[in-house]
Amino acid sequence: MKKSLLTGLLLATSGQAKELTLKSEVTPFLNKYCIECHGGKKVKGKLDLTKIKNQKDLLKNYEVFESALDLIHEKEMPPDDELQPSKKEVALYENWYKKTFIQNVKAQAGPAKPRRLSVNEYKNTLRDLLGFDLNINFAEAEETVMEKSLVKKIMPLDPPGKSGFQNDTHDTPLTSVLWGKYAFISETAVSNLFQKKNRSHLEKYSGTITKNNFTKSHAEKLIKNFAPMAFRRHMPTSEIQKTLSRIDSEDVIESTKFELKAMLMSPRFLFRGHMVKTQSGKQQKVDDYEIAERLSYFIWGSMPDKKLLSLAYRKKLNSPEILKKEINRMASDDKSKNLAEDFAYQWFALNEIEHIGGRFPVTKSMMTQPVYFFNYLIKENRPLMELIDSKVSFANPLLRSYYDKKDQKGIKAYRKGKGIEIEYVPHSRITLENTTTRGGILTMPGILAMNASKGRTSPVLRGTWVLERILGDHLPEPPNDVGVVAENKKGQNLSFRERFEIHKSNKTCAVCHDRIDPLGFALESYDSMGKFRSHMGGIKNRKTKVTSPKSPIDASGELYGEKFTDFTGLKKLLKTKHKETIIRNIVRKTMSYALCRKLEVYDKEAVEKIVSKMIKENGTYQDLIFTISQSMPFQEVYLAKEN
Amino acid sequence: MSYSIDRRSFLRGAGAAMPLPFLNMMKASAKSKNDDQSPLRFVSLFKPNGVHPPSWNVTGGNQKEYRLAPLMQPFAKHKKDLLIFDNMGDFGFSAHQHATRRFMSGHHQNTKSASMDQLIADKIGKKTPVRSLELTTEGLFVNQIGCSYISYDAKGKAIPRNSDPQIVFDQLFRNPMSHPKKKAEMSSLLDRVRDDAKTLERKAGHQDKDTLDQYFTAVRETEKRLQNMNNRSTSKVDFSTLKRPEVSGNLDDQVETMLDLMALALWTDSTRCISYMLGNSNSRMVFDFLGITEQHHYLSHFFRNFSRENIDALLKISKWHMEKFDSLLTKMKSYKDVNGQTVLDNSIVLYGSGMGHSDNHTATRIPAIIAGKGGGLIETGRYLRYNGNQRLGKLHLAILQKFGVDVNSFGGESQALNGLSGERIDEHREKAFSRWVKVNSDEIVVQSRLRLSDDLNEAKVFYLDLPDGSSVKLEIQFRDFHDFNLAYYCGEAIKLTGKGSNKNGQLTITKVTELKSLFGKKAGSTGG
Repeated sequence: MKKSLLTGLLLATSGQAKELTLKSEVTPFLNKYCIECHGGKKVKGKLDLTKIKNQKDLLKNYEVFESALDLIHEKEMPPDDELQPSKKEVALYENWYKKTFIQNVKAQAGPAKPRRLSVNEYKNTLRDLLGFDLNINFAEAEETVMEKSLVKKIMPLDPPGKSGFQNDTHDTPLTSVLWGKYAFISETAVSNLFQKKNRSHLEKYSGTITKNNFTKSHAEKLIKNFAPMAFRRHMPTSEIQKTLSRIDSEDVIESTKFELKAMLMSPRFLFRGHMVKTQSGKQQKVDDYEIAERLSYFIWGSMPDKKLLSLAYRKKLNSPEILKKEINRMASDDKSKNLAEDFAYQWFALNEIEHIGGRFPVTKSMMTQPVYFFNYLIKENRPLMELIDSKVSFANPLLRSYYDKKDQKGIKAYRKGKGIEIEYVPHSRITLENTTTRGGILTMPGILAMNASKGRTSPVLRGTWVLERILGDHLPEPPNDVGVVAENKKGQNLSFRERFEIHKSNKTCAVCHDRIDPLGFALESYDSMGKFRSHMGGIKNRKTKVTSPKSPIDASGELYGEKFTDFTGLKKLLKTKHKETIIRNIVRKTMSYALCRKLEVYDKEAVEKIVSKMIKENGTYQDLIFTISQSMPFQEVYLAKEN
Repeated sequence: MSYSIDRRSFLRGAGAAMPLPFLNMMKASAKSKNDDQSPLRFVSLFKPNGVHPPSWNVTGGNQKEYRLAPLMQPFAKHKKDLLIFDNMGDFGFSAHQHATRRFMSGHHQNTKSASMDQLIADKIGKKTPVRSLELTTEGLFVNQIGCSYISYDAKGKAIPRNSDPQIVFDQLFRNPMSHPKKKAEMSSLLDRVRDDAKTLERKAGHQDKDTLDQYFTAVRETEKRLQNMNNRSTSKVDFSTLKRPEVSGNLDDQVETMLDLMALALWTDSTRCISYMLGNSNSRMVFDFLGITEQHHYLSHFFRNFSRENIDALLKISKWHMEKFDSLLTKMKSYKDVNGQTVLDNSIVLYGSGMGHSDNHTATRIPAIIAGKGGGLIETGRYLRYNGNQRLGKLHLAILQKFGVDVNSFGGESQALNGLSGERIDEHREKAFSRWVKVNSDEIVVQSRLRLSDDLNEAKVFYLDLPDGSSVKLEIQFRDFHDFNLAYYCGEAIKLTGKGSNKNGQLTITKVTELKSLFGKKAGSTGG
């Protein structure tokens, strides 16, 4: 304690900031304008430039310099009260940036690195392999829910990887604890496959079983058909023979079960990407089976089906026409709801909706609404920008009041059963002809309500969500010492927005808040539960009988120099002026999910190609999937030289 | 019922199903090498939604001499193994989620610490392959989540429950750590997948090898754990003779299978501590297999949703709960422990609910029964009616102390309940009154204690017992039942005037003209 105090004192008195060890033409610029707050006396926004020591570190942290470019360009960094760079200096940074991160970076495929199936993928793969859901039995009752999936009940939740998505399992290794859980599930899976009620699923592999007599020839057929499905590729006869030779004629069933369990425990089943053939130091195309797998785990979150595997066997998946047809087939399949339930759920952080509180069926309705909507965008192949604005929405009776009376007619009528207080029912598709205040994901009740706190709207949370999730911006953590917005003092009658302006007058805060706030305050026309309002306040306190002052909502603002009067105005701006930014974000998020990894600087070229294609052709979601699947990072793999 | 054989046939015998008890396996257990002391176990069985008091409450009697209430008939054969508590309760009314928490946490506000079963499991669960089981029948009641849990961890957080007998079976008996054959299979499985991974390794590039290394490490560690387990395998029973239960057909099937598994788990010493919910409080379950179409919770509000049919349906459900308690005890009795006593003899089973009256949610006269002698710690065969409300926390504390759990207080109570081992208790004293009947042509006047018929199929029939052992029967129209609120007076001393006759030697009143409680208040004057 004493020691650290002393060094702190020394640093302060010496007045000398640290210098970068990085040797680059940009070093003087960084030393002059950035280091004081980012690695010298302080480390603000968790950015410590002194940790970037060489060219390799630079490339790894390309996102830092990318957002710095934007911030310098928009004159938001350095903060207003700090020394400002000249135009010439700004140009120097820009040139350096282009050279370092664009011109000198060679587009490259991602590393060949196998990864464990995520819990979601594992669950779906078992379902598609076995032909039935591995579910838990329980007595069902009204208004009562249970996690039905054995896998989800037993396996620990995957933490999101560096990409922010749970299918990026590169950093969550297999442990002996997990091994035990896999063993338990495999045991149950194989036992259940041999149960009477699942006979038809077993027979799909083994052929018809008469008189309960499972013979050795059934076992052989079963293994021949099961193995290539479980391992998601053609199995050489020699390997099949080896397995068959282990079947014990004395105990056919038990020994067959054992072989199946061994398959379900094999790294070839539990991992993806083990069979990618690579040469050290080379970049090369992956084979058709790997393409089939990449595609099916991307769209379905599950294993390829028979059709895909047979196309892979016949090496047909390198034909763009066939690939396009397959993508359309896969997107139209019900399994494509994985993109909504897994990908969009994580992208939009829909789990936050669970924390709104209140009655579960209402919360659940709010949570599934964007899932339905995203599923519609995929299945019906809608243009990318309809995410922001669409005439189509989904609602059930619990969300009825959010929509105009005439539009409500689209909601399927429903009568509660006797004794039921409140229950969740599926959403119906509605057309927003008269509800002018809704349309697109930004104004969905759940999205608005989850970004609130303690019964009050939170313009900051809402703004941050739009900025990060829709515009794809990266914000640092707020400093710890900022405190909260002050309440009105006696005699003071300032609106929340006015008090907030005072609160954020600090120049450092303004750097992020100038970007966050216009977005958040534009959404003030929606209350903490996402209901539309024109005024706030005017509520009588039950105890004190005092009515709070009623004031009209000010949802106007300015985004990067463009003024707007309300959220509709802002939405128009987003759809026109910020279209490219939004599409870039959609592309990056989708690509990152498809590749199950964080995008790196060497992916930039591929991303930009897709972005311009999507803008030029007013691309749809299936176009995007197709274009990604044609891209180099999806088609190829790179194996670094062994050190 | 026809399924009873199938359900019991989960033990695979030589061709034919082998019913309980499994004598061959008992021998296996009796051979246990060095300890012939049987372990003490704890089981709790939760009955949701309180009771319909007229059918549950014991009407008078003393510790040794008492008449079981109508709802207790299904488990009457275990009377000697039961310790029935009366006047357990708390002040006021109880929400469902509070009642559920109270069942094993002493008090509903005890939300930051463990429930009693978990304290017991901490004490006795270390020696068994499975520390404890937390079981239930149905999913989560999400509108009031607290209704779904009775077991809570040290921080007061709800412990996830299991409801699928197959999964519980797999955990108990297919666990490679406790099952010799499964252990052998796991060993060869480890060898096999290691070979498989090695084949891959030969093909893999170096980045690939990293993930394979992790895989090999996991395999190696699992092997080590298996070997360690070799040295401290506890059970002498060959689990490979047990057959995995089939998928349950209906709720009854599911519960019976689970009760089978519980008894078996206790007997094989796979675990010593189990909590089981027969349903969520506030349960929305429909007991269709009993021919009932209304939800349990709706029916449990028997007063506000009053109709003859609803009462009958509710009593059918309650009776089913009682039959399951009987099943559990019967199954536990069918297993002999190493000391020659039954598994039940060496257990403490807590059965009951968290509220009393299921319609008005009063927290008084909460059903609570201990079954089993707890290896001699409990003096059963008695009915204890305490003087004034005794909070459940006191009972829980007393049980905790029987298990040697080192606690001075529980759920806000620092005084353990007296009487479990036969100590003197402060008993509820009844005012004395005389019982008589006067017959004057068709008018009958009778003074006695009113009770519901023991036969729940005739739950509209009441009796008033007389000193000579005979009784006056009340067989009246719904109108009278309703106007005089007869059910309310169950257990009370009353003077009743009515019209009737002597039918084949049985005095029977068919119309009530006047009803007066000797000591109590008028119907409707005490909350509900």
